Amino acid sequence: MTVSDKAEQTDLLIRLKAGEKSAFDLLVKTYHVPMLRFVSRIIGDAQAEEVVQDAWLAAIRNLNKFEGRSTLKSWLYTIAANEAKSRLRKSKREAVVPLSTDNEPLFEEGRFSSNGHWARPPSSWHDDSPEALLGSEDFIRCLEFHMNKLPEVQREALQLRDYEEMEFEEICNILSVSASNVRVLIHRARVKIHSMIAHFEETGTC
Amino acid sequence: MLSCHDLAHKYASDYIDGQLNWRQRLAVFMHLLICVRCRRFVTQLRLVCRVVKQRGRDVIKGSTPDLDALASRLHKEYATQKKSSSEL
Ligand SMILES: [Zn+2]
Repeated sequence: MTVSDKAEQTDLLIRLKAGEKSAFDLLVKTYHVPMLRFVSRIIGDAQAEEVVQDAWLAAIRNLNKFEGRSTLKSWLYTIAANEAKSRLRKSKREAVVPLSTDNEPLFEEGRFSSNGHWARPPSSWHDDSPEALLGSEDFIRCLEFHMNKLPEVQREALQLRDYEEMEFEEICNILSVSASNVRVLIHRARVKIHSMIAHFEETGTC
Repeated sequence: MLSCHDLAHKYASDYIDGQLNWRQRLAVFMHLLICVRCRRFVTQLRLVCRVVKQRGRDVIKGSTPDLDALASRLHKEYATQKKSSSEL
């Protein structure tokens, strides 16, 4: 059984609130591993398990207050993201990098000429499928390195959109940023990964 | 007229995600008709999305967590909490 549509969702929520054991089994089976994956992207594998455990406990504490206005999934992800971020803040003893501090230019200098045309256009890639690219260990290492280098909120936005395939509205809720900001974050993240792949394709190095 | 610079900096992802209004969408579409370089860029950006997705799928946890135990723990936790709130 899955929790794909609205009716199943409502049904699950009712059974959870009634304290049915099988509902808790289904909830955990459906969302634990995806949450783990999401949180690892924010905070790293080492602490992810603990953060998700805390998120689950926080979710259970707030279960009665949850009315199902958003999906269960985005509700859980919001809680998990908050747990991860507060953990991150504690460990770094600094605020999460705000949106505006990513002032890095999106493309390196000289990429476009003054009339707005490409001065150095994108080169063609010989690997043109995810399978071909991800077939190389070096590529995977390089991808992971650059994914982890993305500002946290960009990484989350990219993950939620391109991996989880969430709607923009859900992503806004989870990250508490506006729709236009989410779009900027996603674009910046994709362009950075694009540059990484382009460099890898051209030079064979990271 | 939309430039390559604008397309690459502002519109490419929104185009892919279907987040442009019809006017912007048309402008991008017209540009892509005549600009092979931007066409390549958009195709590659689409590939980036697919790579991120595929990579997410490949990352499988080394240890499979004990989901049954976790579910039981949460169930118990919830029952305790319900009991204590009804006693108040
Ligand atoms: Zn162009």
